[in-house]
This record gives sequence, C-alpha cells and structure tokens, in this order.
Amino acid sequence: MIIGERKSLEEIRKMIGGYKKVLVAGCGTCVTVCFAGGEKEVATLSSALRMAAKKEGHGLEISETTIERQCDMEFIEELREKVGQVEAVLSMGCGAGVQTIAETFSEIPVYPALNTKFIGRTEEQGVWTERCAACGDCILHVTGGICPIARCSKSLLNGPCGGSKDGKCEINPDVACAWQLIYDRLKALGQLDKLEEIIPIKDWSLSRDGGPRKLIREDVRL
Amino acid sequence: MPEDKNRFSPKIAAFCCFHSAYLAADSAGAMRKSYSDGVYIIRVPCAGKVEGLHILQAFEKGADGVLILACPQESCHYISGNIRAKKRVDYILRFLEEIGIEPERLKLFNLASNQAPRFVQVVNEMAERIKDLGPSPIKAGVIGR
Amino acid sequence: MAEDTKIGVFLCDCGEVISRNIDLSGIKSNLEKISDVGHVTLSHYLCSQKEIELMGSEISEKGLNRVVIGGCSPQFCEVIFMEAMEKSGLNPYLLSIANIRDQCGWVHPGKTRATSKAARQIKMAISKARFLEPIKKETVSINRDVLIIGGGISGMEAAIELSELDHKVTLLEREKVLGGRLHQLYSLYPLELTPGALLAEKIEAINRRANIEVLTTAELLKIEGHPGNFVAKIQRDGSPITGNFGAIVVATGCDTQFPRERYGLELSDNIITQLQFERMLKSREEWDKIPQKIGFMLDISDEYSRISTISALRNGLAAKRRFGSEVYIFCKNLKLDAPGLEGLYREARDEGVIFFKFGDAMPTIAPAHGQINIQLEDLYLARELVTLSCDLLVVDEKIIPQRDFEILKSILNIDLDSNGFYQQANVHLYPVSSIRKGIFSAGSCRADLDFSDALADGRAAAQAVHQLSYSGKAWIEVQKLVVDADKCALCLTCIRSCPHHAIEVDHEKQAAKVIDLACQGCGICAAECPAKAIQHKGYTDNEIGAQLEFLEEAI
Repeated sequence: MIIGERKSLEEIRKMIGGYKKVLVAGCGTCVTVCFAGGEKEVATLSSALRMAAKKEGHGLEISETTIERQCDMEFIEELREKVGQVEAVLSMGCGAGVQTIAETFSEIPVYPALNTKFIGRTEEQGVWTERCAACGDCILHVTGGICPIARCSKSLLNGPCGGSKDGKCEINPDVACAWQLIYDRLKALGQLDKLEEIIPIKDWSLSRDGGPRKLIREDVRL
Repeated sequence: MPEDKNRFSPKIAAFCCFHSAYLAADSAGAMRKSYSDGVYIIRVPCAGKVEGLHILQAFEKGADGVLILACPQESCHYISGNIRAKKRVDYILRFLEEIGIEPERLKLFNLASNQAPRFVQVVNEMAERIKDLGPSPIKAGVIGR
Repeated sequence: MAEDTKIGVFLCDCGEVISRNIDLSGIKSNLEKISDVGHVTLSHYLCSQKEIELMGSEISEKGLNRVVIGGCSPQFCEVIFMEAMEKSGLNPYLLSIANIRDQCGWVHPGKTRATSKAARQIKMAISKARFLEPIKKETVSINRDVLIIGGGISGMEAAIELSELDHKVTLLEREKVLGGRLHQLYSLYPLELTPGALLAEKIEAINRRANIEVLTTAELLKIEGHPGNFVAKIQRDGSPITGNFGAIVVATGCDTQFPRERYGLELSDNIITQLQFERMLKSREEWDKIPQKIGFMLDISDEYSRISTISALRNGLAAKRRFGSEVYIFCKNLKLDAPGLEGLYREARDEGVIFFKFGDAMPTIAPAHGQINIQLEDLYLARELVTLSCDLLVVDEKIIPQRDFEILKSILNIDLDSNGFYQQANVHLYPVSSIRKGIFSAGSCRADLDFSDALADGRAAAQAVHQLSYSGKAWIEVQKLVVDADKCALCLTCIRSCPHHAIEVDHEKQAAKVIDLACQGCGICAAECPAKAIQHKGYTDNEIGAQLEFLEEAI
C-alpha cells in the first residue's frame, strides 16, 4: 500500500492560513491503514487546526469527511456538495488523491496534509517499510523476491557495494543490506546460481525517466 | 489581563478507568476526602478506551486540563489498556505542543482502586498546576478578541 | 438520536445523605424545564423495593425511553436499576447514571458549589442518555466438556475437581504416564506423603471417575472455534482425534534451565542442579561417597524464584537428616512468603543448616581438587570475605515454562508475560484466566509455583471453568462493540490490539468482527481503529462528546 505521514501542523497551517472555511478530506484506503489520513486522523487534525486557529483568535470553520478512495472520480464526486461550501480543501489522501480532487474541482484550491512516502508493507503494527519503487520493470524473479531497486540504498543490480557490513547497509546500521538478504534467500532456496547471471543495465525509461507514466487496458476500457 | 489566580476555577475532564480510578474516586467520597470541584469524572471501561481525539475534543470544548487515570502499570484490568493510553497521551502531547497548549495540561497517572488518597492528591495537584497556568490558551484566544 | 427521546430522571437523596449537601429540589425544578425530560422524581431510597417498582411503573406509564439516575455510584446500584428497566420492558442499557453522592456531595463542601456541580453532572448524564443505544442480550450454549492439557499435578487436580463438578474431562498428557514433575521429586516435605504416594492417590481418583478420559502420548495440534465451543484436533500415537470442548485448561508445567553465563561455569560431577540432587536422594546407588559438606546456591539464576528457595530448604534438610552432612545455604534473600515456609526455615536452622547471606556482589565459585570453594562477603557476621569449601554444590536454576510452550502459545493464541510464563488475565483478580475467555492456565506454567500451590491452582482453574460453563449457557451482549463494515478497511489494527484476541476477520462481510462471548468490553479496539469503524455502545464518540459539553459552559 501507499504509506503517508502527516505534515507538521505548522506547515499545514501556513498553507491554509488565509481561509476561514476548509474541508478536511480523508481517504478510506491506504492512508487509513497507515494511520495517516483515515476518519480518525481527519477528526484529530481538524480538532487541532480549530484549536490552533482559536488560540490566535482566528475563526476557522472545518467540515470533515472521509471517502472510500480519493483516487477514483466517483468517490470524489461525493465531495462536490461539501466543496461548494468551503474556500479550500485539505486532502489527507496520498499525492494521487490530492491531484484527483484538484482535477475534479478546478475552482477550489487543494492542499496536501500528508507527505506521501513510499509503497510499502506493515512490518508490525505501527512500523511500515518500503518494498517497491514502482520502477516499471520488475526483477523480483531473479532476486529471490527481494527488490534491490527499492531496498538497496544505491539500487545496485549485481551484488552489494563495499558499504555492506555484517549484513547491514553503510547508510544506517538499522537498514539491512538488500544484497545480503538476496544472497541469504537464494542460498536457502538453493538458487545461488541465479547470482551468476548478470542483470543487464536497467531500462529506466520504464520508470520516471520516461516521463509521467500511463497504463491503458483496452480490454477493460468501456 | 490575567485572571486572579484565586478566582479562576479550572475545569478538568478526568477520564477514569472504571476498574481503578473511578472506584478510587468513589472511596475518596466514602472517606469524605475533598478535592477540587472543577474535576469532572468521565467513566470509561478502560483508559485504553480514551482516544487521542477525545482528549483533543476536551481541550477544544474548553477544558483547562485533562487527566487520564489508568490502572497501575503491569496490572491493567485489560492487560494492555494502560500502556495504550500512555502511548496515545504521548502522541497527543506532541499535538498540544504544535497547537501551543502547555503539556502540563494533559497528564496520565496510574492508580489502583484502593488508592483514594492518591486519587485526591493527583487531582488536587493537577488543579493547582492548572491554576498556576491560568485558563486554557484556547479560551484565552477567544476572550482576547 | 434515532427516535424522540423521552427521558425519565430519577433523583435519590440516599436517605437525606445527598440532600444534606445538594439542593435536589432546586435541581429537580430546573430539570423539568428540559424539553425531552418527560419525568423527574425525587426519592429517599431509589434502591428500595418500593421505589424500584415505582420507577418501573413510571417507565411504562409515561413511555420513558431513557433513564437517568442521580444518586450513588454505578458500582453499587446500576444492576438493580437495569433489572427494573428490563422488567418494565425497556432495554437496560438505556441507562445513564450521575454519581452525585460519591463523586460530588461527599467530596465538595459548600452547598452552593456542590449543587451546581451535581446539576452539571446530571446534565452530562442526560446528554449522554440522548445518544444511548439498546444492546440486545442473548443466551448462547456453552459446551460443558473440558480439555486439560498436561497431566501433572495441577492438571490431574483440575480434572478430579471438574469431574466432581460433573463436567466431562479429557486429560491430555504428552508422556506415557500421568504425573509430570512428581516423578522427579524426592519429598513433598513437610507433607508426610511421598511424591509416589500422592501420584498413586491422584491416579486412582482419576481412574475411579467415569467422566475423565485420559489420553497419554497425546498432543494438541490445533484449536478452532470460539470460547464455549472449541474444536480441538489432537494427535494420539500418530492418529488424529477431534474433540469438542467449552473450555481449555493449560497445565503444562514448567521446566528448568541452568544459566551457565550467570554462574560462569558448567555443571559437573560435583556441581549439580536441584533436580539431579533429588534424583540422587531417591536412588542410593548413585552415591560413590556421601558428601560431607553440601552447599546450596540460591538467587543467582533467578533472584525471585520461590520454588528454588523451597527446594533448597527441603533438600538441605533431607541431606542433613539422611547423611548428617554439613549443609550451607547461600542466598541473597530467602523467599518465605507462603504458609509453612517460615516453619520449614526454622526447622532447617534447628537441624543445623547454616545460612549465608550475600549482597549485590555475587559469590565466587571455584572448583579445585574435587572441592568447590565458595567465597563471599558475609553480611551477617564479619562483613568480610569468607571462604567455604564443599564436596558438592547444588545450584539454582531458572524456572521456565515447559519446552514446547511457544508452539502451544500459538495453537491457543494466547500470550506470554514478561517472565515467559502464560499471561494471566489479571495477576490479582483472575490469576488462572488467560487473556482469552474459555482458556485457563494452572500450575507452574503460569507462575513460579510449588507443588502445594500447583494443587490449589488446579482446583482454582476448575472452579473458574465451572463458573463459566456450569449451566451450559451464557449471556452475551450482542454487538456491544459494533463494526461498521462499510468503514472497516480491514487494517487489522483491532485484531492485533485486542488484548483478549476476541476479534477476527469476517471474510463474508470483508470486515472485522467481534466475537461477543470472547469480548470483555475494554473498548481498546474502538479507540485504536483509524477508520472509526468500531463503536463501543455506552462509550461511543457521541456519548463521550455529549459528556464533554459541560466544558463549554462557564463554571
């Protein structure tokens, strides 16, 4: 899922400083699961914003709503009535959510309350770690199901760099060396021979280097 | 103009676990041990039931202070409720700092159902602390305009 | 607020105890002005039979659909009022109590201030009452049959007790015979009974009872279902057995572990554990030569172990009596916190066992030429280093749960405490209950217990099981914690954070589901849910928010 983290109250307040009526919109999917922008975070942030404004004597009226998914237009439509009653929208969705709202309601400014961090998994309750860099050209089949693009600090393709020490990455002893993990796993699988294959230079045009990406499925299109 | 300390009577919302602090408050009553009348007890089944949001709402509605009174450490009626409560209080304290509300206005204490004197001490000390701080800055902002 | 509320407010002056400090009639007349308050009474003893009946008839005659009480603490009379409401056909959960006696009248001197606080407390209760929702109660059937895992002393005792209480019991033992640790002990001193005799007595009692089924060389593989109706998959001699049980008692006992890193040495011919020593006491043949000087070391492996203290006292005394050896017991502190232990200690001293007490500095233990030299700072007499040599040193061990506890823990889905034993629901209140309803633990798998405590623990667990399932049915509050499946993102937070493991995934609805019988109503899940998909009736966001409204008024 997509992992997000709330921006500081100060940063958010700067964005919406001039408005008196704001809609705080949560998203019921990824950011709910990672405790960044679900219904509870919407209520909590709204309460904090109201208090911060009240403390300084500003009037701030907040309406709160959380929809199923901010990255789908049909759900975004549910916001239309509420958006009509405010001066700005503060989205607690990921970057895709914020932009879907902006694209749907051209007349109203939309601000992000979260920093969208990465595609990751729940390692344990309250701990999320990055697993996928959305590079557009998956090689997990040759690396034992462990991604060197997302998990090696240098995104190396053919083994570790000299900074791998005791299975840890030189950038931080809490970060596992992805290539150590790959080696250990392939060894356990009895597939160490896979490491003898040279992974060719990566085609980064499939990733961000190729510009904004788009996916079309004609069979699914109506 | 700061209000006169003696005239200011702080309003404190005290979320009390029904297995510990609530019963301690009852026995404080049976012992006729008086405490600040600005303390209003809200019964919860477990301190772990109190959400961060409820704490913020209490401040938003005008609380000068909020108390979370939980079971003693290692002896929560529901095993981990008091630990969860502590973690949420820590999270909300960071929020309060960002808003500009003094951290002394939110406190969590662990106490057992037989600790009536401790209950009285804890709420009275809280009331004194809040009296020193004055009314909640949230209210002050409004009065100022 | 789904319907129009019509609130009945019943004020009680508790035999003028409350009205002494609170002007209840003044409050009453103010309350009558509130539009959805349909009825206000002031009575002397609301909890008396007459007043309760009156309350019931007011509810039905005036069509009240919420009840607010202003009186004593809910810990005293809540149940009585709920019963009265139920009798008059109103859901008993539509009740809200303002504790104006214990938490106002008795603690705030000055009638004016106390009255104004009480009025506000009652208003808080009224605000809450407007949002109250009914909770349905249902009976569910509970299987009275019990599975006991572990045929040691606690398990056997629990089986006998439960069988006497007319429960059908299946007693599971991994080994070929019942008895567990009893086989390894030399004496149960100060009991006259030998371990063998005690074991024979228990086995005979078990064999006598037709409703105890003993499965030896059997292990639990899997548990399905819910409290009251567990399905257990058992393997016996390699073949599978399935059984249905209402409750499970875990009595798998403990194990011991010699922490060589704490001692800094290895076990050897003359450095042995308590259990090895007991075995030697049992079989004379193992002795080449009777040790003249025996030392018992305590508090190095585990400073807080009572079993180790008891074993050292018991075995020290036995060594003294059987061989007339010189016996030293080295300890930091003796744990004599159980009946009879003080006497055991005095007996040991009277027989000439010598105690040495050391402080924070650990004694040094040095084996040399078939002897063990122990050097320690004697805190009693000289306050200087003394050296003693022994022919035999008996060391203390760490008490840990039985070796496969990790597997059993995951089969049963229960937790371990910080000492590695099975977690008790509450150390003081519910020692034999586990975190999961219907699963109990007894004996030394849940704490450092001696055999006499283990016996008592077996009986306690049996009583706890009986309390849960004696009637074969139980009341549940249906969906007191209610999950809004539309909002639930299945983030699993509630399932992970429920201390009683009472929540599971409802695959049909694609949402979390609270198992009513397993739920103990703490509300932690509701507070954790990031989607606000769980509401705890009686403590919903609306109900808590309504009570906070008092903050908006000036005091």
